[in-house]
Amino acid sequence: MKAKLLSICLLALAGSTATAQDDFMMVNYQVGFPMGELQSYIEKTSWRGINIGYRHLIDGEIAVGVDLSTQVFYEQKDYDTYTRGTASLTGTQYRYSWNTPMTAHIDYVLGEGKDLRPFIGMGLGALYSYRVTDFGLYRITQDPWQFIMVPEVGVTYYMSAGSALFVSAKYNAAFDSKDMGGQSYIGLNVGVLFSTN
Amino acid sequence: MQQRKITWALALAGIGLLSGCYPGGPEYIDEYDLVYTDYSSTVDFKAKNTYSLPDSVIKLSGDLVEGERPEMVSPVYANEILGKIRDNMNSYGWTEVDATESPDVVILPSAIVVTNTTVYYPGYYWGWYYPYYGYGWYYPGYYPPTVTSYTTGSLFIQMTNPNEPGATDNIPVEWIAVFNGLLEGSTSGLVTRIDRAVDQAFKQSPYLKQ
Repeated sequence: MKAKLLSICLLALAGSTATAQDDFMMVNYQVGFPMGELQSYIEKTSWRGINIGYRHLIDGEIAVGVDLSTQVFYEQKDYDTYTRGTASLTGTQYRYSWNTPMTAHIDYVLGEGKDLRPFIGMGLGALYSYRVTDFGLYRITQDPWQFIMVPEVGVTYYMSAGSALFVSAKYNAAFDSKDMGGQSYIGLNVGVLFSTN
Repeated sequence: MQQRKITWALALAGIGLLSGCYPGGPEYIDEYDLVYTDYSSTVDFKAKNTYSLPDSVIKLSGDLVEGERPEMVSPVYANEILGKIRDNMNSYGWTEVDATESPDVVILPSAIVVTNTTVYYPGYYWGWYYPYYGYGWYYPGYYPPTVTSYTTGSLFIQMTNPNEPGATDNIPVEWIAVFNGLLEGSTSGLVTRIDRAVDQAFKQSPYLKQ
């Protein structure tokens, strides 16, 4: 399901860039810092993340587009005892959390005509979260879909007319779903942005 | 040129997505080991003092004809298991007595290496040892887990109360410990893991202290 959605999004991006004007693609490496419920499950920073995006400049200051990213969180817990009521269970837990937000964005971009262009933006969309807990020989999996809001602030630095360095911080604020609290995290992005015109 | 850029971007994205698969996981057998304990909260263990322990560990290997003596676990492992239980019980202040001397509790260790079982196996496995009536177990106020998976071995330690048979003449199991893990590796490695598991079972059950 995830792979299928990803293919559709990538095809849509590829198709739309062929004829559009004032269009940009970006590819970013992303570091993830877990927040809220996700942080209580996995505390460790994730160094495995990527974000790809597409933006269309409506005029010089407003851009709209889509983002697709994925972030993998992982933590090996210590050999420890977990007690519930009268029962106690001791072992080593391995915790995994894959998070794939798919969002539509609108950005306000400052500094028209300049090399350095800060921006603020907001994304809305869906988060597919896949959680795996390995405990001894047992595995527990959960895979909720959650609504997500993604405020973002960043800056682009144009090195030539069509390409720029891209740095941003975005807060992937996920909302609780039926069986799981929101899988929120902050993503720090570093990458490149280039014109597809 | 345009197509190349897009291809490059998609390739980068693909690499990133694929590299995110499994960041890590268990590397050693003992990292799969689990120790589970549970007990009846209505039992006052401090009011009990004596226990008895058989000289063998039963190997659960299928249905028995009633009265038939079951297969036993190899003494290499059984002596280690029984010795560790004895050490821990004694250090918690209990006194070992013979089964014929009306112990407060009888501790029954057993092991299994097969698929799809639960700890609700028939009590007649212990008919050759257990000097009291009752042909089944029950768990007052709690439910032990189901053990599944053919790659695993499990060791059960059941603390039973021979003096308070239930309404159906079943014997109450007032404390249970289950050690579950992979049956791989050397004998010495397995012995070490068994030692650690039995010690852990008592460590996480401080209510057994006298």
